[in-house]
Formats: sequence, C-alpha cells, structure tokens
Amino acid sequence: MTPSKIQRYGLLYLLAMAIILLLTLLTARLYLDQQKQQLQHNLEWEMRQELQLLGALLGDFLKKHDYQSATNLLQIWKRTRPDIVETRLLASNGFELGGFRRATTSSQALRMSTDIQYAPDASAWLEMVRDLPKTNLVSNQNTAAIGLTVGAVNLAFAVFLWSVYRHKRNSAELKRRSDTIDRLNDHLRESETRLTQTTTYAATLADSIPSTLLAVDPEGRIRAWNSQAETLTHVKLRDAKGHRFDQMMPLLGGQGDKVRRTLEQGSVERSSRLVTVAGGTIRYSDVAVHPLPEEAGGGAIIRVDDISQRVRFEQMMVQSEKMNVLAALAAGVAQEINSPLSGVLQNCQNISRRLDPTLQVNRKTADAAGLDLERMSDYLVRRNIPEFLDLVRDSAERAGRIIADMLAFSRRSSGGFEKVSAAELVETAVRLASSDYEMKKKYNFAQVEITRDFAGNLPLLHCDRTRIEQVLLNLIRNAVQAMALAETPAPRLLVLRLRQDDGDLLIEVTDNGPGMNEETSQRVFDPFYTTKNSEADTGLGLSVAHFVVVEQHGGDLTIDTRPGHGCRFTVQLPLKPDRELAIGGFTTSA
Amino acid sequence: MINAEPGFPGHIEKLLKFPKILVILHLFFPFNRKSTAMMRILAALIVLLTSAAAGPATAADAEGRMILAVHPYLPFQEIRKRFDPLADYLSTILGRNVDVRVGRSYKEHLARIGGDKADIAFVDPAAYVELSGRFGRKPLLARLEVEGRPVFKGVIATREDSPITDLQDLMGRRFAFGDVFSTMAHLLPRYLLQQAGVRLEDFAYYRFLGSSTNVALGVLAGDFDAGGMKEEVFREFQHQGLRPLTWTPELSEHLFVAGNHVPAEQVEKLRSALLRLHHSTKGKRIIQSIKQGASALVPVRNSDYDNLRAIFHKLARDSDP
Repeated sequence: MTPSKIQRYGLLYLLAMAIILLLTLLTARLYLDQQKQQLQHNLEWEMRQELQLLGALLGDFLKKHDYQSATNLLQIWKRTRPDIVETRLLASNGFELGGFRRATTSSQALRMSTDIQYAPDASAWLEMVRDLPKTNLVSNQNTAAIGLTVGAVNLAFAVFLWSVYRHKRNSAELKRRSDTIDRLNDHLRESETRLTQTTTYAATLADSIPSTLLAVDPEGRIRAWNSQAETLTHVKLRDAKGHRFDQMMPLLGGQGDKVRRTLEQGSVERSSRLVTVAGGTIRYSDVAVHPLPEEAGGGAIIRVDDISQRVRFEQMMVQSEKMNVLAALAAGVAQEINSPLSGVLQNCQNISRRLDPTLQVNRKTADAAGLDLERMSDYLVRRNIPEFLDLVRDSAERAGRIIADMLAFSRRSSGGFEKVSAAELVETAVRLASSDYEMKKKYNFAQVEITRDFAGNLPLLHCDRTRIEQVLLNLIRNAVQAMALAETPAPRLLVLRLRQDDGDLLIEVTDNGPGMNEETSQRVFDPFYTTKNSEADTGLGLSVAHFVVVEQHGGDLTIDTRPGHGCRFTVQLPLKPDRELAIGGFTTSA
Repeated sequence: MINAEPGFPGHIEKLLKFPKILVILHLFFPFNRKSTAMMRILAALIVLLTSAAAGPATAADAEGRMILAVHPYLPFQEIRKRFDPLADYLSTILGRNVDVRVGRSYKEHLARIGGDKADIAFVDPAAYVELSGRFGRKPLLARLEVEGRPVFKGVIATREDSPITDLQDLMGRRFAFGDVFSTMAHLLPRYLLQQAGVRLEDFAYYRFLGSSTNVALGVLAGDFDAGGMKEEVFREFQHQGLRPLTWTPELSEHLFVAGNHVPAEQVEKLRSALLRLHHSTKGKRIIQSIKQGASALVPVRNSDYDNLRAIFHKLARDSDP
C-alpha cells in the first residue's frame, strides 16, 4: 500500500472515528444523565427518610421541651453526615433552635424540609440541605472517561496508521537517500582511490626526483619530505615532522631569512652554491624556496639540489681548460723551439761533416788553408770535440723528439675513440714521464726500474688514446713521486702489467713505494685531495683519471694498497666497442 | 442526661467480684480435697480483703484516699474534666490521692455529704442550705468568686418582642422552670413569682425543662412565654432575643465543704490550699476550669446563705401543695 493510499484511508478512518466518538459521547452522556436522575431520585427518597427519622427524634425531644438534647442531636447529625451541608431546626416563630451550615462543594444541592408537630399547638420546622456534587462530577468524569477512552483508542489507531504511513513514506525516502548515499559512497571511494593514487604518485615523484624536497608549514615546521631528505639526514619523516627545518637539516641553517621572506611575501627565494662540509667532504648545494598556496595549506617547499658533482665538473673543466691552454702554449713554444733546434741539429751535422778528414773536399780545403787536417782531427779527438758534437746532436735530436711528442699529444687530443695498442699507450706514457723535467730532476725518474709485463696477443683497445695516455701518465707520475717523497730505498720498482680478463683489458701500475692507509686510499680519487704539500699539485690528477676511465670509458679504476707495501692501480677498460660512452667536458684543441 | 460513676471501688469490685464468688463457693464446696485447708485459708484472706474493699465507699480509706464529691449538675465527663485538676492539686498539697465522685442524683449527693461519706464536697447554695438544715453544719472551706464577686443570681426572662412587662402579666401564660432542684432555674424564680402573687396554677401551664438552657430555648422558641434561668444562661442567649423581667436576689456562690470526720488540721490545710489557689497561674486555671468566669476561691461563712434560708423558709411556708 502506497503512502498516499494510507493517507487517504487514514483520513477517512479519522473522520469515521470522530463521528463514532461523538455518538459515543452523546450516548454516554444520555445514559449518565439518566443514571444521575435515578441517583438523585434515590437520594431524595433517602433524604426524605432521614428527614422523617430525624424529625421524629427531634420531635420526641421537643415534646419534652428538651431543646438542648435536640440541638445535641443536630450536632451529632452534623458530625456523622458530612454530606449534609445545612440542617436547621426552626421553631414555629422562626427562631432557630439549632443547626449547622457548611460550605457547599457543589452548585447542586438537594433541599428538603419537614414539619415536626410536637404539641397540639406547637410545631417546628426541620430543613436539610444535602450536597450533590459527586453525581455530576461522577457523571462528567464518567463521560470524560468514556470519551477519553474511545478517543484514546481512536487516537492510538490513528497514530498507528500515521506511523505506518510515515514508515512507508520514510522507507521510500530512506531508499532514495540510501541510493544517493551509495552513489556518494562509490564516488567517495573513487575519490579516495584517486587521492591515494595521486598521493602515491606525488610521493613517488618526490622520491624519484634527485632533489631533496621539504614541505614546511607557515611556521617553518616540517610537514613532509622525500626519501632524499631521509637519506641526507638519516632521519625518518615521522621523527622529523613538526620540527623546524633548519634543526633537522643543518645545511639549511642559514636559510631562515629566505624561508621567512617566501612565507611572508610569497616570493621564490634562491641560494646558489651553498658550501657545507660533511664528513670531511665539501658539498655544494643549490637551495630554492617556493611558496605554497593557501589552498594547499600554506607554507613553502624547499628544494635542495646537490651540485657538488657539477661544481667538480666545472672545476675539472676549468682545470682542463688550463691544461688545454698550457698544452696550446706548450705546443706553440715547442713549435717555436723546433725551428732553432732544427738549425742546431743541422749545423751540428755540418760541423761534423766539415771536420771529417776523410772527405776530399775537406782535405782539399784544409790543404788550401795550409792546415794539416789529420793533425787537427787528432787534436779534436784528443779534446773530445767530436763527442761534444755528438752530444749536442743527440740532445738536439732528443729535444726534437720531445717536441714532436708534445706536438703529437696536443694534436691528437681530439676526443675521439680509436683502436689502439695498450702496449703502445703504456710506452708513450713512460716516455712522457721520463721526459718530464720534474720527474727527472726532482723525483729521480732515472733511478726507477721499470718492469714490463705485457701479456701476449692482446686485442686492440677501443678508447680515447690521449686520455688513456694521460691516465697512465698520472699513475706513473704518482708512483714515482710517492717513492721519491718517501725516499724509498733502492731499488725503486715500477711494474707495468697488461693482461686480458674476459671482456676487459687490465692495465696495472704497481710500485714498491710507501703505500697508503685506508683513509687515503678511499679518498685518493676525490677531487682536490692530495697528500703532497706542493703548490703545483692540484689534487685533480687521480680524480680526472677516475672520471676518464669510469665515466668516459665505462671502465673502472681501482687501488690496492697497504702502508709499507706499495701501491697498485688497476685500470680496467672494456674491449667491446658498444661500451663507448659519450665524452663531455674534456676537449682539447690542437 | 446525667451520668454517674459506679460506687467506689467500682472497677476493683468488678475484678474481685467473680473470684470472691468462687472463693465463697469453694469455702462451702471445696474443689480439691487435698489442698482444702490451704485453700480455705487463702479464701478467707481474699474474702477479708475484698470485703474490706467492697461495700459503700468510705471516706479516707486505710491508704489515705480522699473523696471530693460533686453534685450532678453537669454530665459526668464534664464534671470530671472540671474538677480533676483541683483533685490533683489537692492530692499534691495533702500528699494523698483525692478522687472525684459524682453522685448519681442530687439526693445521693446530699446523702453522701450529709453522711460524711465524702471528705470534700462541692455544693450549690441550695444544697448547702438543705445540707446544713438536715445534717447540721459542716466545716466550710471556701466559696467561688466569679468575675470578682462571690454571689450570683438568676432571672426570669421573656422574649424581647413579648408584651409581658412584669410578673403579673405571666398569669395565664406558659412558664418554664429548669431543673426542679435548681435554685436559680426553679426555687428563686418561684419565690419571685410567689412574692408577685403568681401561683403555679395561675399559669396556663408550666413545665420543668431540666436546665436553664432548655428554659431559654423554650422561651425563644415561643413554646413558653417566660422562664427562670441562671444569669449566665440568660447572658448566653440574651442576644438571640431574651429580655429580663426580673432578677432574683443575689446568692452566695457555690462552695466547698468538708466532712465532719475530717480532722481540723486537714480542714485547715484544705481551706488554706483552696484560698491561695488563685495566687498562681496554675491555680487560676484550676479555678477557671470549675466554672467559667471564676476568678478565685474566697472565704465563706454560714451566714452568707442566710438570705437563701429565708427564701426557702418562705417558699416552704407559702408553697403550693
């Protein structure tokens, strides 16, 4: 049954019940009135009897003129009949011999009287008034009770109908709302899923970014940070939340003003190349502070980018540029020296030829000059002049070779990969090291015994010749320097070993110098790290070598050393051409 | 209505009544042969004791109880209510119990007093005159003083609207007396009528209505044209329409007398106690409970009642057969 039908039938029922109630009340009222009349009739009869009885008793007293007893009887009557509101005994002359009067409790009363003839010429009048409140009240109460009962029953049923109607209506409404709620729940679940996905995506995105990200509230307290921040500070987000950002990340200690400006003004603040030292390592960072809009809760995002590697690259580039400039300068100087050197060499040869007594032209010219060429030759030999000339020539030739090597080195630094012999690379590096003035004079390179242990049938190496020669030169130079500075007793050994290990070529440079402790060996490839006190030592040699081998060739450069047991550097280079890496940062100009 | 208390010791008498009968029966018809001797002795003792307690009341029994007799002018309960406080007071003074006894009738009351069956008695003036005349003088203790005066009077009253103006107008009328023994409601009004030359047969009819109240009501109701009543009753109903025709002579108030058997020392003690009663607040209350308006108990003499004696003498001499 639909709510509307229930409503309609309910109204009809109420109308019917109202009519029935009225009829019931009317009937009840008529019945009760009849009962009331009957009751009143009974009361009248009863009162008449009492009046007669009382009158008889009073008459007996009055006959004896015992008026006092008569009034006493009336007082007893008063006490025993609370429903009698008035009783009066009046003499025939109107004098009230006795009686009483009470306040009536009802508007209806029954009044009766009787004549008491107590003497032939004497009579008295007895009046009595009786209250009749209860009948009316009872009548009204009964009527009201019946009406209320019927009304209550009808009302209860009407309420029941109404409740059924409401229930039906509410059920329909409930179903409609339930459907709405279901839809809302589905939408909510979808939104939650999307939110979770978005949150996860954002978290993953934040964690995937190499930058260190912090989200702070308008008071500078940490709300969130990514995994890079956790790695940097070794503090979990749950422990960092709520703390000041500069307390949890000391490297941002000086950024309070910038963060405050961002929070207050909504501007983006940047700090470039912040220098911090952590564990003895210099670290460079860029810091950017971005404001967060109010809808995102306000505050700011602090991004910290570790630019240490870039700075090192830049420094390496600068150093490399310097090297390039020096190389170019050296090339230019070499070119300039080459000419006079050629003249020296040429003229030495000419002198040697002009002093040769075996040449006919020389004998003829000497005869013409009246010179005994053989006796002059003997004198020159006795004075070691030809040896001097040979030395000059050798030196010039050697200088020429050095210059040629330098020119060749500078011309060949084009950055391109080519197939080269590893042995050839090693020999070139040895030669460059031996011709190094500092190597010879300062570090006694000549006293170093170089041992070559080259495996046979080694395949050609696909590499940048110049850069690998530079790496090997650095390794050889370091070994010699180390042995010289440590005053390693003779023999000072330098072992150069070549061998193949699967797809890689291994070049080992081993010395019997002082070796390194663990700390030094772990930092030896750090840029600008050096154990020497020379101003000329930039500390970049091994870091550049590491970069060239690892970054540019995809290989590896390792060290094996112990204090007092020398040092072995192993350059591991891949033999396969597909491991050639893009070269950046190191270019040379001829 | 007159209620009278059973004779002393009524309640004890009731209690002992049945056992005494049993004992007497047992004396002659023993129930248990074995204890006959003991039972006989016990029975004799009981009979002796109860016999001593039975019989007419005797004044001042062996335990020192005294009797205050009051004539039955009011219902018994009312009289007890009025006189018990005095009895308690006298008990305290005398150190003996004083019990109130109300005679079953006026005649019995007089007989009790005259026979010295009561230690103290409260009597009205007429009773005292009769008492003293019949039984001789009794020790006088004190008389009432009401509203400062030890005398009272009666009145012959009629209705306010009555045409009767004097006693002679009462001839052929209807007259009401109170109690036949009442001084103020009968004897004195009758005396006055007699003095006025009105005899009882001159009335259309006359009735004795038993109390001054009935007389007042009867007159007011129109059943009687006039009636004799106590002054206090007249005052009570005067506002309802009574008018005095004539007043009686003043008589000395009610009094307390003692029995001749009461030792003089005790008589003096009683007299002193009564006369100083009004000195205390409690005493005043005791006096006021005896009669409304009573203010004290004052000394009394036999001669205070001489005028009443003279009236009675005249009445007796001139009374109708």
